[in-house]
Amino acid sequence: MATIIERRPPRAAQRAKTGRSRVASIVWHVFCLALLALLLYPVAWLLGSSFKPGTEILTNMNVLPDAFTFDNYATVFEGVGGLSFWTMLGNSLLISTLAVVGNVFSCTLAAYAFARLRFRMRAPFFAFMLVTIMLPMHVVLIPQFIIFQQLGMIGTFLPLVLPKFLATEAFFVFLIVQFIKGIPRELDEAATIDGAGPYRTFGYVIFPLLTPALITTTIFSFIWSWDDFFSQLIYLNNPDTYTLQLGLRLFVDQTSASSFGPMFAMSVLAILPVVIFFAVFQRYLVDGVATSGLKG
Amino acid sequence: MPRRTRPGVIALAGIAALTLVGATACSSGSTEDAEESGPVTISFTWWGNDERAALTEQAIDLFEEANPDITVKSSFSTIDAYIPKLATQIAGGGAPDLFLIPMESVREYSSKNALTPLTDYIDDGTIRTEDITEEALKVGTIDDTVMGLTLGLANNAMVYNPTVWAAAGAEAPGAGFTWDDLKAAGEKIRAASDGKTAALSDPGGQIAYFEMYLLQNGKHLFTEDGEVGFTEKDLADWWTLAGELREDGTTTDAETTSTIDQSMQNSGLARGISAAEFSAASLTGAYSDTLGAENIAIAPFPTDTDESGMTLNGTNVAAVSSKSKHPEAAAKLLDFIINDEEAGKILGLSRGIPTNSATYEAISPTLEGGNKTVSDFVSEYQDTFQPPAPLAPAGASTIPADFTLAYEQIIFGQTELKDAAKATVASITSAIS
Amino acid sequence: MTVAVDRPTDSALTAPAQPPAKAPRRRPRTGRTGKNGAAYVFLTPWLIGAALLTVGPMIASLYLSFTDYDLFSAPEFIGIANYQRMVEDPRFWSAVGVTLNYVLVAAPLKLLAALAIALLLNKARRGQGFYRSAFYAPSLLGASVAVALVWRTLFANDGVVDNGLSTVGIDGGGWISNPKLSLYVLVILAIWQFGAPMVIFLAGLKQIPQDLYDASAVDGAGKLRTFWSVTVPMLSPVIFFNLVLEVINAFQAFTASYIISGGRGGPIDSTLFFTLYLYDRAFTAFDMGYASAMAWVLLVAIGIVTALIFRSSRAWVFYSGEEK
Repeated sequence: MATIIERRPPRAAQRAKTGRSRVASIVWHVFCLALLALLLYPVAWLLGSSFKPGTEILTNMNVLPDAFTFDNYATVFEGVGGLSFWTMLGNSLLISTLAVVGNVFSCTLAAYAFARLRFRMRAPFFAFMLVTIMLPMHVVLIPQFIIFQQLGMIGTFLPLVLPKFLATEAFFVFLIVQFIKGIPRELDEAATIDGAGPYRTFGYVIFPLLTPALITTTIFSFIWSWDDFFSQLIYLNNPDTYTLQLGLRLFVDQTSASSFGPMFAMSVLAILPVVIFFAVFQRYLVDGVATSGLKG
Repeated sequence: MPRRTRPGVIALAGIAALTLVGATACSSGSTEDAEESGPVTISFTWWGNDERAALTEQAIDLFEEANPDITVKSSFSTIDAYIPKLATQIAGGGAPDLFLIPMESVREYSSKNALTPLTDYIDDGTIRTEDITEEALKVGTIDDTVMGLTLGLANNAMVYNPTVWAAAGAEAPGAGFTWDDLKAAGEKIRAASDGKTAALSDPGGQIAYFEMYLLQNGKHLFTEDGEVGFTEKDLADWWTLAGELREDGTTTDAETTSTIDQSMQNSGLARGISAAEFSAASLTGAYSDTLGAENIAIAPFPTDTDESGMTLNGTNVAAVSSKSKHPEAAAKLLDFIINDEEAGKILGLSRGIPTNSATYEAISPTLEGGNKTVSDFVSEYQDTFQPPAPLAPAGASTIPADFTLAYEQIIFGQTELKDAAKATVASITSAIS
Repeated sequence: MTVAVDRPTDSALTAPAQPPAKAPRRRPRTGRTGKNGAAYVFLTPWLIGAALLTVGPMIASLYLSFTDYDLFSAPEFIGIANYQRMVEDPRFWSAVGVTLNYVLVAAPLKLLAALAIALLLNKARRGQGFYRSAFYAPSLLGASVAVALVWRTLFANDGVVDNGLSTVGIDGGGWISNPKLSLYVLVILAIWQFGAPMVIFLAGLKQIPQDLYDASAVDGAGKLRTFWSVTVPMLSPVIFFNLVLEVINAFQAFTASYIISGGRGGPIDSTLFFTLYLYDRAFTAFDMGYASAMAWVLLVAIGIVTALIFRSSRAWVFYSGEEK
């Protein structure tokens, strides 16, 4: 079958760089860091504010606090409105992980059908799938709510997770379709000649070559599910099932005292898992993909 | 092979049709179960911040101890998330048994038959009303039927920063403070801050303070019958006054005003852009957290008439859903929250002054900080409070935002004051008709 | 070896060009009948999802657009009254203008930023993981209350940005509070969060076979030539994808405006995105019928624009998986 060659410049070659590319390398690093300094200023501001006491947050415009304090974080760990931070973290993790699994599973299957298999309804179905992205969710919210209500799923995690297993996120289907189209047909044909049907072709040819697409799907599924405040709001009732996003917003309410410090602190804490997730998975967006095997 | 697709399409259409039928059928009521004895589960939702949530949960735990056969499933969020969620739940047929309604929507919910009248529960004593003040009772009463009960009373007032006022040498606001006094203070405060700080955040676009102005002049925003209670001239007068204050720098300029809304992070006072703000007095604690307690004080509104423009009004209305399967249990919970002494002590002033006068008397001596300031203020100025305004009629939910938009168009120079006043009165009239 | 743009495909949907020996497109019956059946097997989750969760609600929302529905009582059929009201509603047109403005400015700029940074990060260098994560970090903040606060503070009159630009001589006055500039604050926020398309571009760049670059080098092509002849065509499916989705996203932009303007779309509706107005009509005015009508107008608009992009893709999108 196809050979996948991973291309990465061998260590020795890297070390043997000429002086010119050394300079280029340094320039590159400096440029990137300068750019990052600009881009990450707001993030730094957020981080700094999480260490400011409540009385400073709205008045002190600098990144660094005048009176550094851990109080905000302490408040967060004490719990939000009676909810434990760890419970909410666990809920968020559970939902997002399941979302990833669901999306990778169902969207890849659907994408393969759209990209490689021919069937009569392909064009209309694909068009329909794209149309589903185009309708704002607020107007389908109530009918969908009713459906989940009929199914008895309100108040559970199911309305947040089940749709992911049913390829409802057309974004990922479309994404994977595009990546599959980038895989040369010759590979499919080679497999067919060897006697493989669509299932084997999918399993042995296409799926292994989809790593970048799947990593991308994984990363975004996790993050978008993590950040999906509105759906979590509508479908979760019991505070024990609340996610970090829901808990976070409890700190800032117009009708009562607003705790900005803890809100910032919790925002930072809520981002950390996502940063870690991203940092871990982006590593798999490695160099090089198949096709070199075709030459043979 | 092509025939295969037809069943698929038909199935899709069929399910779609079923869903439609379900959607329309669902909104038109479900059968009422007979009241059962035995263990019962009810749901209760409210809005508030994390502190209020924690306190309310404690009160509910107490209730569950006292009523072992009732389990309460509670749910909460902040006010901006609360409204769409409640609307979705009601539309989808999953309304909670007991819930809070924002003041501007009470009549709306009632007129759409979303609420169960509470008269029966009051008559048979499930909900005790002996210690509830007349005015508190009136808040949730529509056409002589009690449709809900408010959980707390609060007043609007002028919250200001005494440190800034004193430093500028301006006379502190208080009883008898007039709009001219405000202008004088404005000059001093502008001067002392190199033109950066205004005396007051511009209240012209907030309909609550237009209502204050109307009250000061013996009128109301809406009459008891649900009609518009003011004329175009009243509105023009208010906006003219606001314009004068804005032009001589007493209040914030147009751009600054557009950044100010009801939230604390955008508050002019909290950000130091203005030295005073019209606001709910109950937010004193919140302001203190942000600026420091010594920098926050409350005063009555400036006024040119004998009336103060202040009223003690409900902060919300708690009501029982018309589709509730256990309205009696919900009514019990409501009664407990309002009347139980222990619960009252726990909840304190978190939703405003307790409506149960016995509870209020019991907790008054224990109040401290922002709560104490509010309580003292109410005691001091109680006699100047006017009767609370009638409930806004159905259709009023969009009016506050439209009012602000109309005012913004004036201050940014997009429309003329007279035209805007005329258009606004027209749009308010049509909204509530 | 020059890699020319191949004979373009019809669109993403139609079957690719086939050597004559294979069966003509329209009749999947010949040869592999198993393939047709297999398609439905692969599509099973999607079909269930569509039937159960998507089709019904979409049709319901279309129906609702012809009704007067206040969420409490059953919807009341009123024909095209909602659509007529829309045409006469000044705030509707205001929202259309704001949204179109936003789409035309934010989407292309965001993609350019994403592509530029992705190209920058494409080579394997030390600290690659760190840089990728760092450039992605702004997008991780998503649309949180925290970001809104940060942004409002940064762009306030006398805020950091204002002071910074003053030193260079640009005096914008208020940014977030200035009706003429407030939208651009949101545009900047959108561009700042270029992380998602950047990651997709990175993934796409990784899929370009190294031999193409090698061959290009052998032919003596310079960096720019290689970029236009190798990178862009090979990346075009991904560019196409990102373009379509960013445009759709931009049309549906909601959260940034919601949190920064407090749901009002101010000042004076200068940041009143279409979906924000829709949301306001649905949940504040309890006018779900009107909101549904707005939603379908949006859908048609997006559909037309997307179809145009798809059409245009024949000319510039090259699928290496589809070449002869």
